[in-house]
Amino acid sequence: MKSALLLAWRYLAHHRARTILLVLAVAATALLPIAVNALVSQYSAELLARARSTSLLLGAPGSRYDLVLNALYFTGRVPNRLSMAEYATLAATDQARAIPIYAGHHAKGFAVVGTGVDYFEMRGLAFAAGTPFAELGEAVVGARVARELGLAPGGHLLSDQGSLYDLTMRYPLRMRVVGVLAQSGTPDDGAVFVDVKTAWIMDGLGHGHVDAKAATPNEVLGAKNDRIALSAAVVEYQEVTPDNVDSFHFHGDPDTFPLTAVLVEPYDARAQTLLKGRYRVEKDAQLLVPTEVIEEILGFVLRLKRFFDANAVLVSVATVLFLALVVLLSLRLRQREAETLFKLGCARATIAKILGLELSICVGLGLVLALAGAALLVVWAPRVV
Amino acid sequence: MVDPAPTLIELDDVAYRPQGGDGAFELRVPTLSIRAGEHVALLGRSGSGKTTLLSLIAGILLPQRGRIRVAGVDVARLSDAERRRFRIGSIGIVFQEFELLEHLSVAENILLPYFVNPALVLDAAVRARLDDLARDSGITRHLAKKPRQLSQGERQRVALCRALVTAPKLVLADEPTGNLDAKTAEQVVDLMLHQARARGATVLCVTHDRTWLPRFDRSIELEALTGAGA
Repeated sequence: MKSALLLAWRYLAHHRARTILLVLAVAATALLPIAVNALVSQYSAELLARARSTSLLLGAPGSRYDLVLNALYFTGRVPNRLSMAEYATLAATDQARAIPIYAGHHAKGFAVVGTGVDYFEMRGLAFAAGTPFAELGEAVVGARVARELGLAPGGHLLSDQGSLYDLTMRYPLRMRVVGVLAQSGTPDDGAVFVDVKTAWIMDGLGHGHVDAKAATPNEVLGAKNDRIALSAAVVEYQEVTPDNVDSFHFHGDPDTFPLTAVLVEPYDARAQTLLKGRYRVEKDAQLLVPTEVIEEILGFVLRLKRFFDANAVLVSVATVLFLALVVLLSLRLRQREAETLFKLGCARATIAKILGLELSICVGLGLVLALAGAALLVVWAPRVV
Repeated sequence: MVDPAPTLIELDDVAYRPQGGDGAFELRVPTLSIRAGEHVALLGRSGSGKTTLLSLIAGILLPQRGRIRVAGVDVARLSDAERRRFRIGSIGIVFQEFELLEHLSVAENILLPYFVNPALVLDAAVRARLDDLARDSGITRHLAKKPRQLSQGERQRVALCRALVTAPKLVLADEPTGNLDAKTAEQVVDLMLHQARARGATVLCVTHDRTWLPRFDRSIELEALTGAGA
């Protein structure tokens, strides 16, 4: 066996270009199916793990997929808004821990998630540096955000503006980074967490400016009793600082302030059943089991993957036929060599073994290359996609 | 009185017709006897069956009739595997076209019989024999090279070393000088006979060139042997 392997290897090494072509042909054929399978498996596992770590999800009526993707993975379209009143109602049931989520804003392309400090504990997130947010305008950044933007506690981050053509848009809010999360391998690595009230400031529901009573005449549109209407000349603060934090206030009914979802952790199975029953008849909100929704989405993906697998099988068959052709032509070219080996006393089976080993080495190297390429893709794809 | 050397090759009423051929060619050898240690030149016109005769003796081809005994063994009665083992252990073959494997080094080409035959053991004695053969053939400095880096004469020397490295009782050479110029051919024939004599091997060498005949113990005209030329 050792000698046959040596002879096979010598032949392949001598005909380097031919060998490299064969190896690349095998690698190219195997790479895509292996990589797609690995990526789908990895994504499925990650998606399901995230979904399983969230018992229930409360959101406004509308697309279940948008709701789950936005609340759990901070991606996709922003779902219909849920009012704070719904959150308050749920919290008042005393049947579950409720954590508000308001994800719709972005900072440098990363999702800004308005939530409460309970979120970190519920997700089991550890801090690599700093502390959770405690004040308006403070932010905790995920590990990938910190790495890519070079952020650390004490640093600052501007929220993204919406549309340049929107005349009513708010100015970006300058957030102060107070904490950096440790790498978790979850969507939390790529998110910026703020208090839900800070997210509302980005919406313009809350703001800070000079004291109306101290405003100059050209900053006042009119005054009636103790109500003062300020003009657009009044400059709103774009950063919450210890000096101006007291000037920040919210307009409107807090019960109508928006959330995109509420993460719901029932205290027990009974509470979970009761909550599910209650929201089955609710018209203004829907209560979802994220795992069911994600399994539904993965069902679509796997159905698509089946088409891809069928294509991969066809390509593999074509490659096998191509390899067979190469082997047949090679056998023809090497008939004389085989005859010499036979005359020297080599058994026909040994000659076949040498040729088989040559092919096996090519296929083996091709598969190793494909596996290495697939591993690289699996590592790099999340950064690229 | 010195006892004559025992008979190494003995053919008796051998007939061979290629299977699937047009039936026009048939090799018939009523009788042939070559003693151990003899160096015999085999002559004959093209297509007369010289290579076929060597292949029959080597057990590569099987006769339809007759008996071929080499070193006391009836080659035709052996099974495929036994015949192969017998060929490995007893016969060294030199081809006209050298038949060296381009992807192996010179040393690996010489040791090729050991790589392809599990029955042969590549031990220190074999390596010592390789060194001796290479030194005697003047190719020691080429052992690590590939055959394409050698001249025609050097390549045939390598082929000769490969035929002798298993210390065979019999060397079958099929026009070993056919592709060589006269001077190189002379060197190769001398080397082959010298090496074989030094190792006590019998040589049966097909050649067209009668110049070499004085170097052999005797020569055989195939046509005379088969009666075809009569």
